[in-house]
Amino acid sequence: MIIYSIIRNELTQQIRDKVIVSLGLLILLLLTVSVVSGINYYSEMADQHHQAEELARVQWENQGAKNPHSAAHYGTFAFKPVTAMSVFDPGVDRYTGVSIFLEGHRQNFAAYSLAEDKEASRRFAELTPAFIFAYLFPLFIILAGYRSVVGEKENGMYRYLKSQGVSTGQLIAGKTMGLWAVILLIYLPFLLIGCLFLLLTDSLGSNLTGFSLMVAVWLVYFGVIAHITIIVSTLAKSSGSSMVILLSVWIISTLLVPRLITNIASGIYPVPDTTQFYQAVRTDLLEGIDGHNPYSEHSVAFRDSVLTAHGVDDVADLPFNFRGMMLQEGEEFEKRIYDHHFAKIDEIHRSQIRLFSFSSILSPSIAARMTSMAAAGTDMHSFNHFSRKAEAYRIELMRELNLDLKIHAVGERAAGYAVGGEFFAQNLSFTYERPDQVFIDSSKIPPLIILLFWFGASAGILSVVARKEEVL
Amino acid sequence: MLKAEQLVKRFEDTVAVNRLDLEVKAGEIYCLLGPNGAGKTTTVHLFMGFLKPDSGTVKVGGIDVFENQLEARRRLSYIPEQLALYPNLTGHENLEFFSSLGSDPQGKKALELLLKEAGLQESAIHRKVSGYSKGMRQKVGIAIALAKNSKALILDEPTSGLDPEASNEFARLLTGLSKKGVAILMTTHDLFRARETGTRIGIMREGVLKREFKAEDVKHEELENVYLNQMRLSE
Repeated sequence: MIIYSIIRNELTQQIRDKVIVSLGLLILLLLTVSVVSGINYYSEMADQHHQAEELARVQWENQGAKNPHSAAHYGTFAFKPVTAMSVFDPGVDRYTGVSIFLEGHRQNFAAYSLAEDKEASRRFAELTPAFIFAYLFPLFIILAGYRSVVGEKENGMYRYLKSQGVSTGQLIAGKTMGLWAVILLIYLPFLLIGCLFLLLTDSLGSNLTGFSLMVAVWLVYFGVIAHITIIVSTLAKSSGSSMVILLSVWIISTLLVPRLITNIASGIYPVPDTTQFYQAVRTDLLEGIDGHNPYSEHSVAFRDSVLTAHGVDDVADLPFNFRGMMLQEGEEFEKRIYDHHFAKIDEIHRSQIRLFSFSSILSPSIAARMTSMAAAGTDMHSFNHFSRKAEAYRIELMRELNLDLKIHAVGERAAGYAVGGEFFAQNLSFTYERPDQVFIDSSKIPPLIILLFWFGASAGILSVVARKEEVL
Repeated sequence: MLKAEQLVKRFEDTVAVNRLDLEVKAGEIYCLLGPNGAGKTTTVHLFMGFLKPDSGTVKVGGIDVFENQLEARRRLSYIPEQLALYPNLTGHENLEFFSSLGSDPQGKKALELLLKEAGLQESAIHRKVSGYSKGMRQKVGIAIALAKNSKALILDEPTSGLDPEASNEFARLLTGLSKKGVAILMTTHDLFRARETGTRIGIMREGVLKREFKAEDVKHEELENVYLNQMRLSE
């Protein structure tokens, strides 16, 4: 009953504080603007994605009659679909690129990142709910709570409350839960808007786990900030010092540590630039079969082994098109080389992410942001999942083309062999199914555990502080 | 109801309260006088459990303040010199909040009656406390004490800064409470008010209770002489 009274009183105090109400309304306004602009952006991108995907397929099917291998060089695109959850947290989506060009002999990086877009409306879209939750909401919590306990000490209320039979534990518990109530007052409307948007876009079902996790993650993060705020407010000598300490914590936790860790991560695990990457690939490719060069040492050796296996002296005597076979052999060799080099890049990214994950022990903000991105399916793991699927599709498409060449371009048909629209229409098309965004990779677990650890530890410290304060 | 036995409190080299024996019985108003630094507020804080004594005991209704602090505080009301109230709340809302902290929270109408009983003007009851005078705040404090229905009340210089009329009204309220059997311990510099309101008067200097009088047995001049004498000795 006492704690309930303190919570109610705290909530009333905050609601009657014009500064807090103004800040709360400002946060709500920003959240609304960010969601609305995110929805517009999402709709626009989803439309563009749909149109681009259709156009790429139409172009593929209408590329005209040509040799299947020429079609391999003509290439096509794989487009990463935008997810409804990116409205709340676009994560790394705007930096990783939205499409991959798929062609024979070569794995390409994703291109056309949204960050390259210079339109003002695009830059405005950076005001996302995740940004507000990570940077601005903690400031609001600090401003709402920095005087919470120390203010009561300064105006004599602390002793007066104690004289009424209120224990320090009850006071601190009430103050903490009162701050929670204020947080919920602003957070709940966002929750409703979010659910409504997912319902209207018919994506609530597929995103229920992710959205629930994201909502819980930010709530836990706010809880950590609320606990730290009350701890500092209890231990500080004055409201002024409480404010200074909490703002320092905010600067270090949300601005300094993430920036520092990013620099350290790219220093320890540098990602090679595109030129270096393709140079290293080219060097390794010289060691294998070049599907376009029948006179290279590796090509000649492969041809001889095939001729021996079939007991003939000339490729023209083979029951299939040798060039189609050699192109596929070369493709598989090139894939191994590219896979090897892309795996290195993946490992560098994984190492960076691992460092980032564990650095969240220094900053709950990092843990919250990483888990939020994972929940939204907009983190690096999700992008890598898409890249792997696009590459698997490329290999299958190339196999389809090379197989047709191998089987049908035989004998008299070999010279000037070509396929047309009917053939291309039957080729595989790329459809990307997003996995359950929450459990793609076990590497997502550490930041979540660390965030829960922050919550538990801050609650634990709060109760120790309350007990310590109880003793005179 | 309020009892201190051989109470000692030191702050580094200074003995703020020195072997104090003090008892306030039900229905008594005990006025504790003394110059600044005499140990009056320290005594109050020891009774409230805000400070821990170096030796001796403090009891409220037979309950040791340091063995069962919360229970002792529940039997006790306290009005400090500067009563802390929530400025954004009305007098009624403040009373409602403090009343809800007790074991027997009262309804809105009952609380309104308590505020009226404490002398708060009807027009002020639902006004924000930020616009209250000190006298009005003290009345809310009295109403909080009334709502708590405690058997003991401790006041730390409650009339300092009040105009004579407000001070007079406040004294009447205290007398009313004592008649209901409440034991009241009040520190003050106001000799006149102490003699008019108090049942007993104690004069402290350098942490020691130097003199004790029954208010009815001492004349104002005599009380003034003793008090001024103690003031001079402390200088």
